[in-house]
Amino acid sequence: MKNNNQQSNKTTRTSPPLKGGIEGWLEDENLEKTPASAGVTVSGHSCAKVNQSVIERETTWVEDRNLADKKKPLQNSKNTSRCASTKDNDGSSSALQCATTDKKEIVIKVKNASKIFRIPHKKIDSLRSMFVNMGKGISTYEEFNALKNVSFEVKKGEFFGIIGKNGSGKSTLLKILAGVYSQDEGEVEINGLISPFLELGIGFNPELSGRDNIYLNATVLGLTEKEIDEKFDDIVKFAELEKFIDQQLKNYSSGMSVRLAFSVSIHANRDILLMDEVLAVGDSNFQKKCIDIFEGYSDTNRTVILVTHDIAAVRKYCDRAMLLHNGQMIKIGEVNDVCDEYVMKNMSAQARAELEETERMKEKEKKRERRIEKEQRNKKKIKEKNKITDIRIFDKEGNDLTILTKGDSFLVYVYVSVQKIVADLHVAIQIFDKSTNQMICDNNTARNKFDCDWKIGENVFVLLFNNSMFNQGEIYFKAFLYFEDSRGIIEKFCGEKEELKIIKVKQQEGYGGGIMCIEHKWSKID
Amino acid sequence: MFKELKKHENYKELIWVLAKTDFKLRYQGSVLGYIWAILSPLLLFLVLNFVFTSIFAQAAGRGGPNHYSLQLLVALMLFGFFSEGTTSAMNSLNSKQQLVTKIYIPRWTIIVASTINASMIYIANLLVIIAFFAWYHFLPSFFSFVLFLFFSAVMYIIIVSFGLITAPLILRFKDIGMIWAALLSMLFYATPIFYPLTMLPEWSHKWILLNPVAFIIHFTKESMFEGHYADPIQYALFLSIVAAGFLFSIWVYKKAEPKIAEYL
Repeated sequence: MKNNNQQSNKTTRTSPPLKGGIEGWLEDENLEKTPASAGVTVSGHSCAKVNQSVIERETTWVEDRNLADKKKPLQNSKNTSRCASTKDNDGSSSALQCATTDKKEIVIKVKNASKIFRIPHKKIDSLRSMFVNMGKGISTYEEFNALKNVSFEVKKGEFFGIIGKNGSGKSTLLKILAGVYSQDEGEVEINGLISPFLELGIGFNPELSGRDNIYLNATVLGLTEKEIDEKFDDIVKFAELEKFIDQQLKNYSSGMSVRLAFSVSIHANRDILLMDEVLAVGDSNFQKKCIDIFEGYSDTNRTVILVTHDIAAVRKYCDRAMLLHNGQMIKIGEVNDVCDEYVMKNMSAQARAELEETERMKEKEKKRERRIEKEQRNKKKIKEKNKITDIRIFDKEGNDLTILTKGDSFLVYVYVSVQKIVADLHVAIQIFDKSTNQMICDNNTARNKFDCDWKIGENVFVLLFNNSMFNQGEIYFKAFLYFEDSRGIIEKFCGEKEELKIIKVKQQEGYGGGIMCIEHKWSKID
Repeated sequence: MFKELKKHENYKELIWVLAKTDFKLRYQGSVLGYIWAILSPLLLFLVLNFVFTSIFAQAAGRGGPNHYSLQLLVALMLFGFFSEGTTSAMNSLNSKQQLVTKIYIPRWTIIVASTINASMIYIANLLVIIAFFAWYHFLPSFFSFVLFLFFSAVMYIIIVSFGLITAPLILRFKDIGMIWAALLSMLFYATPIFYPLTMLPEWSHKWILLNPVAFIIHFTKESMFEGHYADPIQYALFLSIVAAGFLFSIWVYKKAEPKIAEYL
C-alpha cells in the first residue's frame, strides 16, 4: 500500500493548504485524482489537532483492515475504495482501512463540541462604526453558549432524532454537522457524504427555469453534471412537472416548487441526511411522503438525523434520540425515554404540577392497593388461624341445656382456637328466633368493653344470661369472631362452618303467644 | 453507491453552474441581453475616445502616444475587468447568503464563480479589441501579445485575491462596498488609462507602478504600442507584490472562513 499516487483523500473543511498554490487550490486536480473521499473532518481552529486525531484513528484501522482482508476478500475492493489514506510527516503515504466490516461503523462522532456566539451590545456592521467604537475604546458583547460540551455518536443506518425546545441549540448542532458553522471547541468527525435538508431548494432562483434550477440545486447538493444528466428525467418525473420544466420557477405554484425541490433532494442520494424541521413545511400528505422516503433511507443503510420538536414523529421513526436543553445534552438513548423527558421539560409549570399530582395520586393509589392486598392476605391469615371451635350452652348446674324455662339463668360457652393473636379481635354471641330468623339479642366483647386477653391455644369465653324471658318456640345461638380492618369494615368469621346451637323453650303457663314473657301486672285507674 | 462517494467534491461543476446562473440572471431582463455586457464598456470607450483624441490630437504628432484610441481601448478593457471582477467578487457571498447559511459548499467556490462572469465579459471584449486592431490595421508583436495574456491572467489572480479578502469582510462591514466604489473611481484616475504615464511627473511613476493594476495597464500599453518593456527588477517587484497579496488573501480567507456563516 506504499503508493505515492494515492494521495490524501481526507479532506478537511478548512480550506486547502497554502503550499498547493494556485494550481493545487483553485483548481481541483488533486481532488479529482484522489480516490474516494470518504472522510470529512470538520476541525475547529486548529488543523493540526484534527489531523493528529485522524492519524491516530487510522493507525488503529490498520489492524482492522488486515483482519478484514483475510476474512472478506470479496468485499475488499469495496472497502479500499472507501479507505482513507494519509501522508505521514516524513512523506511516506499509507492507505488504511477506514471501516470495520463486522460491526456497524460510526458515521458521526461528536466529541465535546461547544459553540459560543458573541452578541455585541451594539452591532458593529460597518467600518465607520468600528472606528467610532475604537475611539470610544470599548466594545462589549455578551456570550451566548449555544452548545455546551455535546458528545454523541451516530452509527450507520440509524434514524437519529435530536429534540429540544426553541433555542436549545439543536439547529446550531445541525449546522455544525452540516459544516455551515464551525465548532469553537471539540471535534466533529463525519464519515460519509452529507445531504443537509436544512432547507429545501437551496439556491433556487425564481427567475430561472425549472431545468436550470434542478441543475443549480443538485450541484449545490454535490452532484456532478453527469450525474444530474442521468437523473434528470427521474427528478422531473418524481416531481410530476414534465410539462412545466422549461417554465420559470416564479410561475410555479408553491406546491410545485416544493415538489421539485424535494425531488432533487432525494435524488441527491447521499448517505447521511440532516433534516431540520423540513417536515414542518408542506401539507400532511407531503410530510408523509418525506417520512416514507426517509424511512426507506435508513433501510438502505443510510443515516438520517432528524431535528424537530414533533415528538410523535420522533417516537414513530427514530431508533435513538437525544434531548438538548439550553445547549446541553440532557439525555440520549431510547426514544421513548428521551421523548418523555422532553415532554416533562417542555411543560408549563402548572401542567407539570398537575402531572406530578396525578403521578403522586397514582403512586398513592398503588400504595393503598398494596396495603389492601397485604391486609387481605393478613385477614385471610387471621381467619385461617383463629376460629370458633364450639358453642355450648349450660345451665347453672353445669349441665348441657336443651330446654329453656322462663326464669332460668344459663351460660353460653364459646371455644376459640387462637394461633395468631390480633389485638382487635372480638367475640360476639347473638340469639335468634328460629321461626322468623329474627335477631333477639346481640352481645359482643367490644361493646361490653370486655378485655379478650387472647392467648395462643384455646380461649373459652363464657357469657351468663340471667333470668330467661323466653316464652315459647325455639331459639338458636350464633357466635362469631370479628375485627375491624383499616377501612372500618367489619370482618366477621367464625370457623370452618357456622356454629349454631338450637335450644327449645318450654311453653309457660298463663302466657299467650309471642316469644317473650316480660314481667307484667294489670291495673285500672278510676 | 461507493462510486458516488468518490465524486462529491464537484468544485468545478459548482463554480461553473454558479457562474452560469449569474450570467443568465444578470442579462435576462434586458433587451440586448448578453450583448449589453460588451456594449457598456464600449460606449464608455467611444465617449472617452472622442474627448481625449481631441485633446491628445496634437500631442500624437509630437512624440505623444501611438494609436491612442487602441491604447485607451485596451486600458479600459483591463480596468473594466478589474472593477467588474472585484465588485462582483466582493459581493458574492453577500448575494448568495442561502448558499452560505443553509448548506456547506466551499465558500471560495462562490467567490471564484462570481469572477468567472467578469472573465467571460473580458474574453468577449478581447474579441472587440481584436476587431478594433484589425480596423486600425495594427498588429502587436507576438511577444507583447503573450505578455498581454500573461497580464490578463495576473489580473485575474488579483481579482480573486481581492475577492477572498473582501467577500467575507463585507459581511461584517457593510460599508466596504461604498468605500470600494469610491476607491475604484479614484483608482480610475490614478491609473494611466486615458493618459500616458509619461505625462505625470517623473517622481510619481514608481509610486503609481507599485499598484499592480497600474503596472499591468501601463506596461501592456508600453509593450504593445511603444515596444518598451519593464526591466526584470520591476517585474520581480510586481510579481512579488501580487504573490504576497494572493498569499495574504488566502490567509485572511482561511481565518474568516469558519465564521462566515455567523456574520450573516
